[in-house]
Formats: sequence, structure tokens, C-alpha cells
Amino acid sequence: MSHQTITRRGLLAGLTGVGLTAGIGSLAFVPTLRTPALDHVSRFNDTMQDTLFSADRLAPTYTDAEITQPFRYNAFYPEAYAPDVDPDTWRLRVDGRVTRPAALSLHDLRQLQAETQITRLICIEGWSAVGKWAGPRLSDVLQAAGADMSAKYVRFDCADGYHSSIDMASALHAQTILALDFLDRPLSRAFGAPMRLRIPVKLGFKNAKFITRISVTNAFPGGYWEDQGYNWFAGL
Amino acid sequence: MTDTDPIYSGLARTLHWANAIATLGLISSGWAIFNAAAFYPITFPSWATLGGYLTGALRWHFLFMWVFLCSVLGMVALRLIARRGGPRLFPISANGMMADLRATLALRLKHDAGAYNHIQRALYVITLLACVLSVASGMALWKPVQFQSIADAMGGYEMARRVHFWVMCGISGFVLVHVAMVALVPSSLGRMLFGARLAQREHM
Repeated sequence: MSHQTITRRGLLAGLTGVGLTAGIGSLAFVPTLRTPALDHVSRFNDTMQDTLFSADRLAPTYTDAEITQPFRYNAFYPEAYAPDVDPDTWRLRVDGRVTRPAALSLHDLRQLQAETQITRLICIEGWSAVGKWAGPRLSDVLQAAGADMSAKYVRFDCADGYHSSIDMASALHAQTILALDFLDRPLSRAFGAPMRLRIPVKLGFKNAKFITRISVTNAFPGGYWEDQGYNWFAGL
Repeated sequence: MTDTDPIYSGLARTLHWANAIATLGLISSGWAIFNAAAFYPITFPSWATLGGYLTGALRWHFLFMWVFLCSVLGMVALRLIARRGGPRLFPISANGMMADLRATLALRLKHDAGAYNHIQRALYVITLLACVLSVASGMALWKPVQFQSIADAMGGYEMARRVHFWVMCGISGFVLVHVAMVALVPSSLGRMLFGARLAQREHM
């Protein structure tokens, strides 16, 4: 036969634990404490993802038969509000920490070797869709502009007011392209015409559409969603 | 009368409660994340979710995942290496489970402090495996490129989402049974909070 005893030490330790947990837990209800704490964890998660990222590891690729049809439209506004960019006058500015700032036309970008990929776009909401994109590698465009490859960030500004940014290692990844074609045809307005970023090693919201300017910088650029609390690195 | 070690060591109790808080945090924030792009025709009520909408829910989810990971690794390590994780989980035998099941149905199942019956053992082992699977499917979802081998083993990214969801259902089921059992045997709450010791009285 047995019975239990609780020692004074056990009781004190237990009550201390309950008190500490309740004390720390209640801080989560105070926005001025919660927000910086969660920001801190998000920065920690950026670091962890940067460590996990492998420059050589390619995102899985798929066959034509696996392409999701119809491909879902997605933006922070309805499709009707997507900007109508004139492909003839459109220029891609490449500036910041580059030795040869450029204003590239669609014709210039078409001259570069295109990389075609069938990859899965994964939205931060959880859904995913397989699509086919083609265009020059971002690394080739950065190279041509004489970009400082040791800089930390690449920032994207878009014709719809959107902006985002990625780390240099992901920018130089072999599958990171400036997509001009989607499903074997020039990008349509809904999908970011005339040029969008297609980066299968990042979540969907990093795949900026209607890009007008690419800047290489060491100053943390944030982004439209990132500034509202989405994790910045957003790697896959 | 001899004083023995606490039934659950201080570290085991700390890990248990860290795991409990992380589990509830992950499930409630996970429900908000599920609501953002539901793949089953259900919507979790917002009062039961953590983080408000997707942005906040993800921030909590990616905080608690570290607490959960550390607590699960700690529990496994404590059992395997220090053997101080709590009462024995093995052996589990079919005969033992049948005997315990009959005893349960006859309402005379022994629920001894300091020892698990075979049904408890089986439930805890299955839940521990579910925890490992939740971490694995979570890794496949968080990093479907870096950990693509895990996603592949589950049938790809979209299947990993389903696996993660099913594992959540299993762990939620365990939480319900576990809390119901604590309600039936309230002294177990004292054991896990205050680390009761078994005082054994020798009888001739």
C-alpha cells in the first residue's frame, strides 16, 4: 500500500512555477510587451532560416501535366485594380549598390538567357499552386549591373505601390528569375505584367509583381506585408 | 516508511508544462492559420484561436514551435538517457491491454500513482509518436524546399498539410482524454505540479 506526500520544497517549486508562468503568460495580453517579444522571435526565426538555407538545394520541379489550372489570382486588391503597365515605355531600374545602374527595357531582358521552371508557389495562407514561369535569372541581371554581391538585401518596388525585399543569397539562387512569361505566354496583367519576381525558395508574397525597380542595399528594406508582421525571411 | 524520489522529477514537470502550454498555443494558433485557407469545409471559431488573424497566429505558431520542439526532445532525452521522465512506458502487451480494458469496463481499473497501466502506456507512446510526426510534418510545411525529403515522404507539400492537420486532431483527442482523466483523478494534478513523493508503507 502506498500514499503520496508533497514536500514543502515541492510545493514551493510548484507554486513558483505556476506564478512565473501566469506572470510571463499575462504579459502576452499587453500589446506593448507582446509585439516587441513576437518581433524578437521573428528576427530569431530570420536567422534560423538563413542558417537552414542552402544555395545549392533546388525547389522541386514538376511536369506540364501537374500545372494547376486555373491558376489562382492573388494580391492585396481585386483583380480589376491591377495596374495596366505599358510594356513599351516600361523600364526596370537597377540601382543602389551597383557600379552600372541601369534602366532595362523588356527588349533588354529578352536578350538575356531565359530559365524556364515549373515550380510550386506556396502562399503564406497555406494554399499552393504549380505554375510555369520563364525569364532571366536575377543573378545575371545583378551581375550585369555590377551589383555588390556582398550586400545584404535586394529590394523590389512595384507599379502597384507594393514593395518587398529578400536576402542576397536567395536573390542569387539558380531558380530565382525575373519572370516575363507565365504558362508559355507573356505575363498577363493579373499575374504581374510585364515582369515579376519568381522565387520558389520564398513564400508567395515575396514574388513581387509589376516590378519597376530593383535596389541593392545594406539598409533593411522591409516590405508591404513584412511591415505588418509577416516574417521577413519567409524562406521555404 | 521510506521516502522515494518524486514521481515526476522537477525537469520532467517543467518539460510537461512547457509542452502543455506550447501544445495549446500551437493548436489554437494553428486553427487560425487553417481558417486562412481551409482545405476541409470547417471554420474554427475565432474565440478558440490565438493571434487574431493570420499574421498574429503565424507569429505565435513560430514562437511555440520552438518551445514544443525543445520540450519533446527534452522528454525523449530524459526518458532515454536519464530514465527520469516518469513511470515506465514499456513493456506494453496485448494481454496487459486486454486485462486493463476489461478492468476499465468493470470500473475497477487501478490508477496507481507512480505506475502506468497498459492502456496509459499505449496512449502515451502513441501521443509521443504523434508529437514527433507533428514536428516532422511541421518542418515539411515550414521549409518544403530545405526539408523536401520529409515533404516527399509524406506525399508532397499538400499532403504534408493534411498530415499536420490529422496529427493536430490526434493530439487534440489526447488532450481531451488526458484532461478528463485528470478531472477523474485530481490528485494527479498535484503530482504534476508539486512533485509528490511516494511514501511506501511496508506490510508483512
